[in-house]
Amino acid sequence: MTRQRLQATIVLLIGVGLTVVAGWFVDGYARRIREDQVGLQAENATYAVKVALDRVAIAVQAVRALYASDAVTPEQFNRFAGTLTESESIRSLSFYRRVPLENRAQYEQRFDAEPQRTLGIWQYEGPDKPVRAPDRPVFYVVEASYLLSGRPPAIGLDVTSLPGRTGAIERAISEHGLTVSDPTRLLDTSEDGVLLYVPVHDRAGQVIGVAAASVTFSELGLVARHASGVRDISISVMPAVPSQARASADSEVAATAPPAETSPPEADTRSFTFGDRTWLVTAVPSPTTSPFAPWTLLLIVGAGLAATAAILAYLAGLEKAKELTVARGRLRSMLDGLGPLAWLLEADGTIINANRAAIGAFGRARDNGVGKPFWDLSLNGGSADQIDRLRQAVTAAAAGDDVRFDLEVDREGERKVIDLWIRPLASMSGEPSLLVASAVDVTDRYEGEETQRLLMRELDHRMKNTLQVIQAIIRRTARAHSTVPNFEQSLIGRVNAMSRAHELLAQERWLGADIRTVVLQETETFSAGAAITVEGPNLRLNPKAALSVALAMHELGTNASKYGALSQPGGSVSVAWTIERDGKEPRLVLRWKEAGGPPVEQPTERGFGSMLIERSIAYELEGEAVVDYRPDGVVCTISIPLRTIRPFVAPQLEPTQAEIAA
Amino acid sequence: MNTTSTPLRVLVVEDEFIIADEIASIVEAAGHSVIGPIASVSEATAAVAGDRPDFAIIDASLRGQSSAPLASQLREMNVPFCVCTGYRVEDLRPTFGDARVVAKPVRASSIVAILGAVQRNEWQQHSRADRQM
Repeated sequence: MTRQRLQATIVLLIGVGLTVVAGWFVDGYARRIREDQVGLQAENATYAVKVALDRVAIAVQAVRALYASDAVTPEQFNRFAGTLTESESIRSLSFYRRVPLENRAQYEQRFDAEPQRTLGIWQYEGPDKPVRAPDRPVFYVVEASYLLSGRPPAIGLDVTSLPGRTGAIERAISEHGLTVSDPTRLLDTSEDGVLLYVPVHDRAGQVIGVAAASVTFSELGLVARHASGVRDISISVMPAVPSQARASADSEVAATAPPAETSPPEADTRSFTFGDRTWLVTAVPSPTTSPFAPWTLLLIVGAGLAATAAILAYLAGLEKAKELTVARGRLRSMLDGLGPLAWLLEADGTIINANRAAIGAFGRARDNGVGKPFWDLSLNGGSADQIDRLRQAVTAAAAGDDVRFDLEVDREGERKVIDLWIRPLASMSGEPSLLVASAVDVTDRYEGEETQRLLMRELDHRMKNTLQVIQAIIRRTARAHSTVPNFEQSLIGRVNAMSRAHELLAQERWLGADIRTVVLQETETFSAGAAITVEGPNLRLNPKAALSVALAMHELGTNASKYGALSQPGGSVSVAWTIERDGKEPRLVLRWKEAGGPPVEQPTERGFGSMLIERSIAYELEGEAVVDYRPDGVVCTISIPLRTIRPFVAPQLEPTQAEIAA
Repeated sequence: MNTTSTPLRVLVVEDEFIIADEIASIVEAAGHSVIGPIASVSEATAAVAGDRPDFAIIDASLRGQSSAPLASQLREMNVPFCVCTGYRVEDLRPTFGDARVVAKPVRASSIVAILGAVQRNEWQQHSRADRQM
């Protein structure tokens, strides 16, 4: 997690850093382009202004040349000026006659129209209020004027009476060159502009007047705008400077002048010299002229951040995918590690996945059952009923039920019982789309239950047999004894003997009992101590043999207690057994031998006890038992084949294969 | 076929001596004769093959072996028989089919009654349907 967070932080820092650097570069580049473009535009504008001014200058020079050659009538001038102003930005072209004061009266003779005829050389006292011009040393009188506006020319007006003009006119004459008036309000247009003056000389070289042209800043600006595409252009002229100082700086287009104070930061101001003045052309680029709008930077930064975020998301996705893979692997391992069998099914019962236990249990040699119907699993010996049952279970589970039942399956010829559980997987929509089947092999449990059932069956069977035996013993005992107390004692003795043997066998889970335990258990009921000696090797007896031996010991002991060695002090009994392997099969030979008892008489009639011993041993165990009433003590020899007394595992009800074949 | 006065020759197959002796004495006391008693399946089948009994009382399990083959043999020979056993009827059905079962402990009067029925030809070899599970 920490590593992941560190990685994300690094990526974020790099991403943001790159974005900022890229933004900075792009911004710088944009600025430079913009500056270059603005510079170019300013240059174009300046050039256009200069060209326009040059043309005006040519027109003024033409007027000078016209007046220098000869006398010109107003009609001639008008025709001439009309052709000159056709395509230029000239607002007016004029000729001002230089009239010294001494020539005033003579000059005023020529006026034949009002108000000049009355006023003579005149000037404005106020708007549209012409008055006779006062005497001055020299008048510069409008002799001819062509106004683009079409208004009547102010013939006879002394222009030196107007502001800003006199200096430039005098400079033009004194310096014999083109001069520019101060920026002023032009009479015919009511706009700001300047007048260009050149002196006009006669053939004798005498100054006879001044040729003038007027231009408006707005018209020049229009020309500049058309040439450069810059919308906002301002044109101004600097105050006139003396010719000496001007000469060195007189170049086509001067270096960038210090920008005017009012110019916006991005404005580019160019200067050039025209006439006797420095002209300034300031271009303020319009916002749309930049190839990179301000939002471009935002876009770049946004894109950079978005890319960073995308990389982060991708990395997070990678991490998540890795986690998912790990989680899947863990889940798979967990499923495979499970003891129970597990399947994932489609709602229609098709197997999607199975864990290792399931594949091991039901997988075929080549495939793991995936893609096959679930009920095909038991097909190796699976009955139609079984398939139906599985189908129904899948259908019920797909309908949302938990289905659980025990199922017998045939697994490679081996009968197995599985506790099968099919459950729907709750999906988001609530409709079960997948099923989980799990199964636990409960064969052992079933076998345990089967064993338990068999044990119970045997116990039940044995008890009923025992009751049958007791019933028989009661009948026999009753027949043998004439008195009730004897009968009772005898019967209780026999039943107790059987009871003790049963108890012993029950302790051993009816698997058998040791012969010594069986013998001691019975003989101890007749003697207190050393009167009976018991000796022999260890040998396990099956329940039937144990019961027979126990009953024999009981009968012999009872007889000895009543009539034999145990009926008086000093008598003794020896019980000894050996395993003899002399004959055709090994046998258990057990000998009961009495000594020290009263003399034994051969009984006239064999009692139930001895008959029981002799015949039951022979009948049940295929053995022999002989009770020999020797005078010095009873000797009973019991010989049984080991074959019939060995413990057997479980009694059989069903016939074996061999028996069926027979 | 048998008349009431004709004694039956009854095969007794039982591996527990006291019980075998008891059943045999009951059969004899009722005036019939006993073949056996016999304690093993092999001896019993051999005995039946050589000498057809009129009736057989057989235990279900003899020295750890099922006596079902003996029951089959008796059926084939059309010898009526009953299985005298401590096992429950349900446990015997798979191997003994619908054979009549006499539950231990059996009383002398039951054996006498069964033999009487056989003698009167009223013995139903098959247990009634309602007793079949």
